[in-house]
Amino acid sequence: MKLRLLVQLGWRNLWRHKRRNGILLGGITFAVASVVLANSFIRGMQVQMADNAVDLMNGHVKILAPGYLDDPGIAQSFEVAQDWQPDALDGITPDMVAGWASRVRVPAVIMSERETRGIQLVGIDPASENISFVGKLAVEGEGLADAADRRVIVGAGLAEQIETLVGRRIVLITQGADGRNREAGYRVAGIYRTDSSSLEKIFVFTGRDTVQNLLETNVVTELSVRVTEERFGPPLLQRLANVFSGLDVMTWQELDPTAAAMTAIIDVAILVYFFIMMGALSFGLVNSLVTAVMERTREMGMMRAIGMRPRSVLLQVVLESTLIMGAGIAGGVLLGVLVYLPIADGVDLAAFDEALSTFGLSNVLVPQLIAQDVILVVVLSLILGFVASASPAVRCMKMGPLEAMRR
Amino acid sequence: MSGLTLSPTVSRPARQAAGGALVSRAFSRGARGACPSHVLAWRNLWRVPRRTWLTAGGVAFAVLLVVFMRSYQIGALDTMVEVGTEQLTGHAQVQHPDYLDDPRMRNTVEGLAAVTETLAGHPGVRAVAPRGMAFALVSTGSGERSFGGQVAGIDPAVEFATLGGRALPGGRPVERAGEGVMGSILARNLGVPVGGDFIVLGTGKEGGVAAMVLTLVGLVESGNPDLDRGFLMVHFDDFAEAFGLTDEAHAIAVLTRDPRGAREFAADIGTMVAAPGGNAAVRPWQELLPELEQTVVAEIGGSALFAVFLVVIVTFVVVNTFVMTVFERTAEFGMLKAIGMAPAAIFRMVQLEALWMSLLGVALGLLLSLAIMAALAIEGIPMSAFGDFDDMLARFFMPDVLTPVFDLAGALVMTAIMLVAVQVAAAIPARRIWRLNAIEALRAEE
Repeated sequence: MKLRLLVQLGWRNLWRHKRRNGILLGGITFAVASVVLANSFIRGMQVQMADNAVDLMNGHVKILAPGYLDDPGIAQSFEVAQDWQPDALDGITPDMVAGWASRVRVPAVIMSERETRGIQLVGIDPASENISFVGKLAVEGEGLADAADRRVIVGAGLAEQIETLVGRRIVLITQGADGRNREAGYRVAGIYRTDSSSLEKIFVFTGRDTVQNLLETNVVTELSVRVTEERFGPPLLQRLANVFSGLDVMTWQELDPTAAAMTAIIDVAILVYFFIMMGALSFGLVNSLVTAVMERTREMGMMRAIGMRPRSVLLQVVLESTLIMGAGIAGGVLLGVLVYLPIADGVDLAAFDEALSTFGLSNVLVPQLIAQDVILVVVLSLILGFVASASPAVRCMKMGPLEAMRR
Repeated sequence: MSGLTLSPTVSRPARQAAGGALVSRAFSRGARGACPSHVLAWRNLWRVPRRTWLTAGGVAFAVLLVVFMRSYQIGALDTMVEVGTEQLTGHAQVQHPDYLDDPRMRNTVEGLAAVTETLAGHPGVRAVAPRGMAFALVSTGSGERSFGGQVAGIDPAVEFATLGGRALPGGRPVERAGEGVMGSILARNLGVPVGGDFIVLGTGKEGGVAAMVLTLVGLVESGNPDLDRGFLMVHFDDFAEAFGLTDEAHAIAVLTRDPRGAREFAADIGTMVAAPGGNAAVRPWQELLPELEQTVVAEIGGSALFAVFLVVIVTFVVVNTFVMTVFERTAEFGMLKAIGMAPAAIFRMVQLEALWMSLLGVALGLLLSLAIMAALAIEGIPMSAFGDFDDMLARFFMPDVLTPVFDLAGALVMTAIMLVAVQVAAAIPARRIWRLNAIEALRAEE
């Protein structure tokens, strides 16, 4: 009952200065909306960076032979049973695993009738590549049919460099585990395009069995597993490390430390942005609250005189601050969401193509409005409003009723 | 309107008296100069010091953040461009017109000696270095394993670039023909020690076999595994002989005196170098390293957006302050009107107050940013303070220590923006002065 009265009083006090509080409300709304939106963009960037790093044939967890990263050749390889399944592991359920793929990835030289280039030859099973960017490639011509497909697909950038076309033949030269070079001719099934022009020049894909046949072996060089949610990564890593003892079991963060560092920075950036914007706003908030208290000194004194407790006076000021902050936060979140909705599908940033791919981003930035971030903004803003009201409220409480009424 | 307000304004009688005295002084001397109204405005600010400090503090906060951030950003971006261009591409390169899109062996610039001479004679040029680039297989004499790699032919007498790598101890750069350096991982994979021999095999310009036998004299490490796994440098003379280049190169890299003016420089010498061979294009670093330029543009754009948001929020704060100011001084303005002061004059006074308040805030912000920068500039900010980002820094050409460059242009622009924003913010509530009825306003004092 007491609190309700105070809330009512606070609410009415706010309405005594419609203009001033209206503008303060506008400021809070704008600041909160800008923070909510900026967060969604920054978060979008982070999710995309992590996604792309995982997509780049890393998976969340990848198994490699020791030494492969230094010397990525067929000599650093291992065997995987045809029917191997990560979700058969203890404690790993099928709903945790999005998919897995084993590949043979070796450095090779590609030769057309005209040109020679160094590339990465990747033998894949197309059916399992839905876990990486390979499964999402836009291919002109035909994609690979299965792991035994004897044709290749090359990137548009490379095709241009070596002057080849769909249907033409190219020669691949690569080195076997014995150090002897193997070479064979293949037909180009299709030419793929990606957001990143540099990727197109590096990777040439063919069937996994085809590369194994060329190299006269049945081993693979890597096994990637993608989980459905980031949090399933660590337990999976643990299990895989037990099963594949003697091999390197690595997370995408270890495989792509740049992307991992960037995503880690972003967690901090979100907080920094919040404190800067809300910090600027708090100057106005404190200003308004101080004025609101000062001009009501006599009023407060009278309230004290007729028996209001000091604590209630303090509560009154805090309530007013919280009320206007609450209204501003609600408005800001609403405004932020309203601006977010039409751009939720992504914003085209084609002008920054190459810089974006340097940072592991694609052309279309999809903002991510995460409930957790919004809640963080709401909670932090409320705390800020609370802190901002502290000094005027305490000042108000300390003043004796007589002293206050004399002013 | 103020039926609920039990207490009027915070202005104390003493201060009001002082203000009143000033008003009359301002009127009596107003005709002779603008000076008293500035004094009046300044004193009015200090009738409610806390509010002035808080509002000016908001302005200072915005100025401080924007200037500080931009200064560090410019420091970092300048270094990125400097390191990126000087380590790799130079500020501009003379190339075959097709080489940029299609870097193949036969796309060379001809008339190397003549072009080099022309460039060296240009007053804006600091260094000129020929480069040959080819893909080749690298192996050791025993022939057990071979690895693909990018071979760069450089002339150590004139080469300025470190090509993105740090030389590892125990070795040295290429100094004469017959020598080569390579990425540390490549050397490890080949199993060739410094001092050992290795073989480079590729396809020459005319399609013949290009072969070199070289002695490894040093290792480089860039931090980028792709580079360290497949990069080697040899003497340009060896390269030209092996790949069959005569008086030609794949690129002639130029270091100018002003990296920012690279585009103008390229346009300037474009016609000069095109003349002898007839088949050359000058590429400024912005074309050679588009991702670097786009990073610069994106970063500056991002910080501009950030500044806009910040300015808008501070403008809200200032509007809020002046709503309070104008409201509290209703009676005062009513009196001024009653004794014959034109609304425009009162409005001007409020705007002058806003001007002084914003000047105070801007000065405070600039001083603070300079002070913080001065304190930090002595050491610079070591990037290691933010975590272990060595690889990332190397990849983005970032220095290990960030040193700010005071962004004077940015500070001036920010000052101008803040002054205008505060004027606008004050004008919004101050429009009320015109609508003020003197008698009603005087009554508002209770």
